[in-house]
Amino acid sequence: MSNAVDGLLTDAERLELERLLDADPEALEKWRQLIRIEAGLRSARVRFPFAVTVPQAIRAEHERRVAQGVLQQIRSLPDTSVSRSSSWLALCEHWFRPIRRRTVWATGFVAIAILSTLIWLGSDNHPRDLAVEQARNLEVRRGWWWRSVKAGEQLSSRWSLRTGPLGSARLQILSDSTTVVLEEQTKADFIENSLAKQWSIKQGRIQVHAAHQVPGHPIVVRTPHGHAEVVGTTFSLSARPTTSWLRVDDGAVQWSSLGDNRSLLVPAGQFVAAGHGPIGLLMAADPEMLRIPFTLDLQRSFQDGDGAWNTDGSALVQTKVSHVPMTNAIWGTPASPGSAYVIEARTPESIEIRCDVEVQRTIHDEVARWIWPQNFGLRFYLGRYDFQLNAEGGGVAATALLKFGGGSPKASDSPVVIHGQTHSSLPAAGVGLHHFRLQLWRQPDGHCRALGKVWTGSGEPNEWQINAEFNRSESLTQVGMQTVSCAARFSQFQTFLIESLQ
Amino acid sequence: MALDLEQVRQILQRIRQGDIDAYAELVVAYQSDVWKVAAAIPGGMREIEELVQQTFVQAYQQLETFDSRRDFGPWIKEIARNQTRMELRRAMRESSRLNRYYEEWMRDLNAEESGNTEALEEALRTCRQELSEHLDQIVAQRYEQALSFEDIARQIGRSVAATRQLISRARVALRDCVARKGGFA
Repeated sequence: MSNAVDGLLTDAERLELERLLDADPEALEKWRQLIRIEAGLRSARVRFPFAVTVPQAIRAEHERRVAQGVLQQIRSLPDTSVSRSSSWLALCEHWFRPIRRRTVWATGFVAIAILSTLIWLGSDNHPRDLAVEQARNLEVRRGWWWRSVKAGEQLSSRWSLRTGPLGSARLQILSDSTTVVLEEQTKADFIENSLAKQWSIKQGRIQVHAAHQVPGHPIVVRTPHGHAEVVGTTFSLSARPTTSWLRVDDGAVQWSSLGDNRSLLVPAGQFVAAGHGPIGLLMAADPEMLRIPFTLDLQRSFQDGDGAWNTDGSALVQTKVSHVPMTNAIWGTPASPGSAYVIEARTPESIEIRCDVEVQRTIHDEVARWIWPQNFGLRFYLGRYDFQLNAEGGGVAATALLKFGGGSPKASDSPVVIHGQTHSSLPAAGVGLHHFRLQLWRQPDGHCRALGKVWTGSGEPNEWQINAEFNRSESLTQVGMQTVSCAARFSQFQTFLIESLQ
Repeated sequence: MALDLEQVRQILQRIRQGDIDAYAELVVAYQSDVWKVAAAIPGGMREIEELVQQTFVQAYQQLETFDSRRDFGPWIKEIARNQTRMELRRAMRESSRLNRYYEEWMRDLNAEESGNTEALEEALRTCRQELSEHLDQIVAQRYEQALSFEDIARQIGRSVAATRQLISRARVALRDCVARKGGFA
């Protein structure tokens, strides 16, 4: 019975329980009592979603937040006037009572759409909450349409704003002179009412230079990953697909992450990033660049063929792990387990891979090198980019090539060199431990930069041996690596999303 | 904190004059009552919070039908009960696994409507004090903090199965205790 309360029964167990309840009045009575206990416990949740020990201020903040959500929904109703909405409903009910419910709903929907349009057409007299000081490629949505906005205009808080490519806008909240800068390709909503001033950033980046706020009436800036509550400070907040970044320049900001429900007071000079799932809340050590580690579970689905695998995070989801058979590449020399795998990741746009590769055996003397002319190499698959670091054995020479292949990587692929660089500074590769670093940066406009280095021993070289720029508009959807023409074992394999505030 | 009739009347007056923000005062004052009813739905805090908001939006749309000579609390709770019933019916349609459970809960909602839950609440409060400190703490984590079995298991250093067993044991102990104290009468 207890399992049934928690919804943990199988269908067969459920049927058995139902038979018991139908046949045994005593069992039925006990069941009902158990349900009432569960209901009593759930509804006695201190009448609130917090433990009793939660300070009154946080509880009050939550009450305000719920109220604010209600107001927001009410404002989005086709007509927020109580008397008008009820009379409209009454009229509709009178007209459409004999008609089937589905028809009434459909008609009602059309009526709401028409009403919304009428309200929109006549809604130019709302109080103005924002002054546009500077605007470049700024648009505002009123009703269903976007229109461009010029400097000097004043806007109502109920409207949505967006900046296009190379766009930016500087806005002033009229009630307290706080300045907000929307950077390019930013989408944001602003709502101001008696409870709070709230910015919701759907994408892009804003900078806030907040005036001192009245206690209990703060500016709240929300992103899909958390929210920052502002007392009076200067900061910037970026909403990205996987994370949101906060940089505090002056004062302090309380930053709450939705990913792990943690809250952090971020002082001036600090950076913090928040995301869903495993990212949680990270302080960024480097103000220029944040490395967000994501772990690859190589024990799972690491079989010949494809396997499904998902991490907990919504952003860093690996959807496929494939084992690439190596027999072709190494011409009969068996590769160690783990010497090749392809992980498809959904969203990483800029990524860093660090790994050590222990070369167990090179086959320079054993095979005709018809696949790759180098006798040791490491290939990273980044979407359709085949980024290949090769180091020739025998202490003769070393090359590093950036290549672009197509389709799924297979050992028999013949990569096409689109852009390549040759370096003589790479260490010769032979049996032993080699360290690899690869970064691939991709800007929204498709501009990419690939950085790579390989070394042996303990001293990591400062310079990137590969430093190539190129343009590709396709998203990066795949991360993978495989050894070429050798038997090797990967270790210390680490993958990071990299994000920059720049 | 419930408002008196005059306060509610004044707020309604302001709303009629176009001050929609005034409605927030009603939401703040009565949301704990609504939470209590909405807690019956399946799902976690987010779902409950959505239902609470939905209830107040629904109430706003029906404000003209509210008789301001009456208490606002019972009126909003009735709307919450209707919303909760709809949500439970929807859950029953989606999965038959918990049907029996939701049916009973629906009965319980109706019982609450007729106002006979106070004895149960009182008995439950007393009986919780009779639980061991450890069990009571787990009950608090499950029901007051709404933690998942997995989270509780992590916090108390036990397996998920053992944690479920502990919660089950606590519920049965509470049921027997409440029955002894006449809380189901």
